[in-house]
Amino acid sequence: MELAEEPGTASEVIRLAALRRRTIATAESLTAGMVAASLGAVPGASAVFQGGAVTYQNEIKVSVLGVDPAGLAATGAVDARVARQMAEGARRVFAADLGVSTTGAAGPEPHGGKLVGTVYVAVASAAGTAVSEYLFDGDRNEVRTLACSAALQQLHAALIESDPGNKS
Amino acid sequence: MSTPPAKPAPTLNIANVLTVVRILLVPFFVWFLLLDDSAPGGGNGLFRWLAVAVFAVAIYTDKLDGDLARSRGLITDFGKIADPIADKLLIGSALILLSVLGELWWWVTIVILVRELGITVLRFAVIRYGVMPASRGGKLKTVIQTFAIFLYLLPLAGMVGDWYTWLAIAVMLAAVAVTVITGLDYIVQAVRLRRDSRARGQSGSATS
Repeated sequence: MELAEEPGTASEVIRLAALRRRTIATAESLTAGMVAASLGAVPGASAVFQGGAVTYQNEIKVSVLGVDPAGLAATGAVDARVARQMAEGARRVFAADLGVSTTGAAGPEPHGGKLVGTVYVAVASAAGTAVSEYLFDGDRNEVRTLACSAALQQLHAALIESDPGNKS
Repeated sequence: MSTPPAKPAPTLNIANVLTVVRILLVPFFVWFLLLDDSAPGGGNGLFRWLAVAVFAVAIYTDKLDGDLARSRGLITDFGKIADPIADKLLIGSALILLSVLGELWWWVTIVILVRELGITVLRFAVIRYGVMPASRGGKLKTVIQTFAIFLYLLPLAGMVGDWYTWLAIAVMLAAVAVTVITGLDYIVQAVRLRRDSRARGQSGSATS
């Protein structure tokens, strides 16, 4: 798929977050730390990046991030509501202004009835939580890389939308 | 910290706008084809070419809006329903119109439409057991159907010779074959999905 990671999305996120004095936390399932690693690779990340959780198993999503176990059991982990609760959980646990999450079916097998390539990315902020659904084409590595890019892009979009300077 | 409200992806996004435009193009496509048929001189004139152009644009937006929605996180419930409806509306009206105009055997139109509607109903019927993925064959089917209709729509037979008619017929028959075969494949999948789902309840792999 043509959606390669734009060079410097992570740098843009860090730069914008620093400018607007927003802190960031991550909660990752299928990307397993790729988003956190991308943010951490940028010089100056320590000013804005609070921390991140790799929550691969369902019970960890529940115990660490406070995802609703009943909903998780009903829909499986690849779900918009789970992504939302993960992002909100990261924001709460790491006391950050913005929480970003990824959950999806990386393949090679479909996951809980969700097609390989289905990815949900959520960004939680004081203004609310936005969830985006993707269906990426590619093998396991490509899907994970695209999911990581998507998370950084949504984080960037949320930072642009956020009210400059006014920390609510 | 209170729980902030949840915002889903906006329904009014570029992918959905393209889907709606595609639905709105269908009446123009039908209108141009009928106008051409009733034109003095027996048709295959300007309006036929306009119909071809509208069909081509609609097919292009179909690919474009799907790619945009999937790669940019613009997948919405509206799009999931409206996109396949737009798709079937376009293909369906093209086949029916070609048959009405006497250019395509009715049995071809009927076989393809019965299969398309049948599988759509089947998808909804088994949705509680799981989603049936659009197979590789399903994508091939759409490409061949579209190509066959495009060949039938282009008024070239009179200009380039009989071979063109035969080519169009061959591609249309291939479209029918692929349509029927992928239809049968979906039925097998649906039966398997229902059986597996009943056998093991919720799947528990750790790929997420």
